[in-house]
Amino acid sequence: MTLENVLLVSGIIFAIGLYGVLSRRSAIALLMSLELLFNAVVIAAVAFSRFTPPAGLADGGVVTANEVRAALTGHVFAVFVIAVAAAESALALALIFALYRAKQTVEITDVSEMSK
Amino acid sequence: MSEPLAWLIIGLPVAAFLLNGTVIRAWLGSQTLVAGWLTIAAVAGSFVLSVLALTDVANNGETLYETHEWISIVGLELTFGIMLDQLTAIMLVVVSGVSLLVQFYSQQYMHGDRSYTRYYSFMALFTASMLGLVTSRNIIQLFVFWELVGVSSYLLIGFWMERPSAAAAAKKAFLMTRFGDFGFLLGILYLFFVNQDTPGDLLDIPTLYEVIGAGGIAASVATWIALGLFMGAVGKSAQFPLHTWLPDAMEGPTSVSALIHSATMVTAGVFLVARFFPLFEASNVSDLVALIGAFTAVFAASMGLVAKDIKRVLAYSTVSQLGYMVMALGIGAYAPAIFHLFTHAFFKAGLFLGAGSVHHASGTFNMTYMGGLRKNMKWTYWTMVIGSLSLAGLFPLSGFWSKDEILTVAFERGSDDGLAVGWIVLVAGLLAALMTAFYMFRAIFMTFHGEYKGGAEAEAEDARKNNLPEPVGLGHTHRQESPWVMVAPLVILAALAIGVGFLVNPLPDVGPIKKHAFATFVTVRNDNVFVYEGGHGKDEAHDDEADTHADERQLPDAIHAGAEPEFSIPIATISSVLAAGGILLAYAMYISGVISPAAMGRRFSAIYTVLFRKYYFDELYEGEITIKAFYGRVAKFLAWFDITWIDNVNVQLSKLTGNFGRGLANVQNGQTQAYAAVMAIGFVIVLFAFLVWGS
Amino acid sequence: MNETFEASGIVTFAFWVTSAITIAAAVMVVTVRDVFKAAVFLAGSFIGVSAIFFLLNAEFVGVVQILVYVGAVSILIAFSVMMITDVSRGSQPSRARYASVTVAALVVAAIAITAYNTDWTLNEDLTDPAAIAGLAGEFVEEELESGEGRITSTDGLGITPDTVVQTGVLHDSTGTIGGLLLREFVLPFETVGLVIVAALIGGLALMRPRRHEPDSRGGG
Repeated sequence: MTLENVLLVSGIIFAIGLYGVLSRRSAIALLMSLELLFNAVVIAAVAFSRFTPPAGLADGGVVTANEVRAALTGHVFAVFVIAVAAAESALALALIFALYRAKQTVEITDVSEMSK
Repeated sequence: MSEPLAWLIIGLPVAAFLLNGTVIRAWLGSQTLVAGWLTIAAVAGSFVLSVLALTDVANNGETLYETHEWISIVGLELTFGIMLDQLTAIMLVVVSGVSLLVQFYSQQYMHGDRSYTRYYSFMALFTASMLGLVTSRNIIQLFVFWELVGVSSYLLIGFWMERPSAAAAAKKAFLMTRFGDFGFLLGILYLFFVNQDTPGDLLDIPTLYEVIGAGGIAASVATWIALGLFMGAVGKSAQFPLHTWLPDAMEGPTSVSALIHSATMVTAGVFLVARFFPLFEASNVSDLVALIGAFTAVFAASMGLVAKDIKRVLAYSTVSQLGYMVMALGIGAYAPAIFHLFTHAFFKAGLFLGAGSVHHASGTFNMTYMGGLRKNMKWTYWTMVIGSLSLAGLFPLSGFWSKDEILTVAFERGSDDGLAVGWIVLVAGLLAALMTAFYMFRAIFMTFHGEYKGGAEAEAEDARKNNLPEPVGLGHTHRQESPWVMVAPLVILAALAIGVGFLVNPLPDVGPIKKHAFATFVTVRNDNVFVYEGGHGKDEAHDDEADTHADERQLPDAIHAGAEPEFSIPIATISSVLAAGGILLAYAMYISGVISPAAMGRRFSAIYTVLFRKYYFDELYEGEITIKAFYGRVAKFLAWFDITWIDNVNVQLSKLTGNFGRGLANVQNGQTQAYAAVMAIGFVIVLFAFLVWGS
Repeated sequence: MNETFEASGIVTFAFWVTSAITIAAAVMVVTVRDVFKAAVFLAGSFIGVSAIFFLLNAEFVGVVQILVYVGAVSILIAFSVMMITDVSRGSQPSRARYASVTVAALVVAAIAITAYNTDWTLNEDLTDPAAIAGLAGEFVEEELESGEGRITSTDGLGITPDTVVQTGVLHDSTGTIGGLLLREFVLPFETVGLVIVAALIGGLALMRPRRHEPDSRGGG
């Protein structure tokens, strides 16, 4: 398990999510694909946190408090991304419901108001 | 004199222009007398400061105020500043002095005009531009003021823009001078490129003097630059072949003519040649300058012989006298040329103002409807006679002295130096002197002597009889002397026309005034004008070089040459006899009737017609060149090119963009995923671009 | 987990297995026609991702992942699918499939090339504690004794004694992350809270039944 491999997995999940975002017609399925994108990014953040530690941590010697904190910044970012993604999905679902109520459809291809 | 004061010379009229044009016109209306007072006060301030500047230069020598950074980008370093040397000081006094008198006079002359405020606003702008022109230290700065003079003269000539003829005259003046300015600009450009590979900032005039003095500019280079500058001078000073605008420019108010066609705008060309005199001396165009000037002097005078409009007579005489100055510069008579400019400014301004006074009384400028005004307007009559005598060059009026110096130098060039051009200039000068005397006194006799012929009313009546359109610009007839506001400037200018010539530049020492005081003043410079100031550190090495060349400066010699010609009795006698002969001939034709003008006109009808039609130059320029050659060929070709190429390309281009746009419009289909796809593709492209070319 | 356990390759093996499952589930999410099934696969994919987090010694993030994604988002989506009757008849077939696959494949290729061609070891300058502390907020320089792999002196530094340093890896860092969230990152933390509240209110506003709605649906 190396950083490169984890990044590769993260990239694959990202690409799958991207494919979903580009090709799915159902707005809900599209939202799921978006969640995959978020997950891929979180994986990358955590992986960087795990595999690129500050100097003191890396050699197992004397560690400073700041090095510990710096090493955990990636985790904090992951938490933030997850929180924002949760908020986003809640809002997106509300939007999908609003769309459904207005147009009786959740097919993203049926909506082209942006061209007007 | 401190620098802020020097800037104030220009600043005061500028302030008057701005105040008149904005605040006063808006608040006090377009006919407020305050506008006149403001401009008069500003010009008076400039005049006082100019006199101070002159005394300062006379006592302490010239001052070069430090240059200020104007534009500074890579490859272009422009500076500006004030150069207060002898030439500038004299021009300052002449310009602001004549301007002051004209502004004063205009109070009455323009009284009741519905654009009184605009008039004074433009007059202030014009005066400011002219003052800026003569004080410029940098050639680009000079050019800016030069163009400002052009544009303000355009505004003034076309002041009565509701008259089509005035609008056309303004346009003509602007376009004709533009031809010259084009050459001027080319000259500057060439100088600019020369400047790139020459140490020192050649655009700075004192530095240019210095570099030329040290032989830093090759004769061939100087020739091209001087040729360009001379083109500008030809346009501005109405020299042949760009002379046709000046007579037409008489459509402006007479006070405008008095200001810009006597002492200021038209002398800007002469000033330009004088300012760059060292450059001209270093070049090979001097003979051309002399020949153009000599030809113009005779050529313009010949057209003045038959003109019927008193202002046109004066206009031709101005062109002729400018030719005098130019030919003087061409033969190296620097001081005499400036001297003639100086004296001419006063008597010609006086004559123009007198013509305005005559118009005030008779309502017309057409001399055939005047006559007998001598009885009604004594002051105007006598001042105009003095001005005409001075212009004719009769001993001992001021015109005599300056003209005589030019002729004497020409004679010296011809006899002592054996130059053909000297003889040509001499003959042309004498011929022009004869004609000048004749046409000026023809004008005086037709205007003031004989029977009164009805003035404006008669002219309008005749036009009706012959089914001609009513002449524009006719005023009311009230045959009486003009008010003192108009007469006072006339008297002052007449007094100057009498005395200034001898007193300023006397032959022997007269009391405190030394022999040739004016010439000495203009030509002898103290050394600091040629001190090289390092030119913004462009080339440090040059500083030393300038020092080593310090004793090789040839400039003072070049300027000094011909400054103090020995008074030559034969020349003076010949020119005086010719002038007197001209006056007598005019007397014989128009007073005593020994020779009938009508009979002369019939006998030499061919010549008369050619002269009266101004050698058909208007027809040549407008009919042949403009309409046939330009409209018929060049414009036609350009129109064809424009339609088939430029327009067509544009049409195709617009079609292309239209189609492209319609194609792009399809991209915006409102499908979110399509947008996301485009974004993703862009992302991929950037990603791969970074992989390939990045890091 | 101790050193030998990690070095034994089991972690690596587990990682690959988990990754394979996660990726397979993700592929199902984006390909399956039935949206409800897709939601189920999504939940599976989330669990897989959280397993990867545990393998990366990110216990806190892993737990948050399970709580938020598996526990909340998946359920939310599942409910939505059930409430929107239209969905139950199945998602329409995907469109522009090949183009999307191409783009996705290119992204993977780019990420893979970047990942394997980059030297990820940190620059010495960047490992300067002062620089990092500068990034993180206030600068507190105090050395911790890591005897026996356990941080002992932690007074007032926001680092809990549970956090363990072992061969360059931090274990049991939850307490320290909490300290970070409430000290250095308190401002973003509060902002995220605000964002979530805003999303909640926005969702409510969008879903509020509209009274007096005229019969001009789609009229603009």
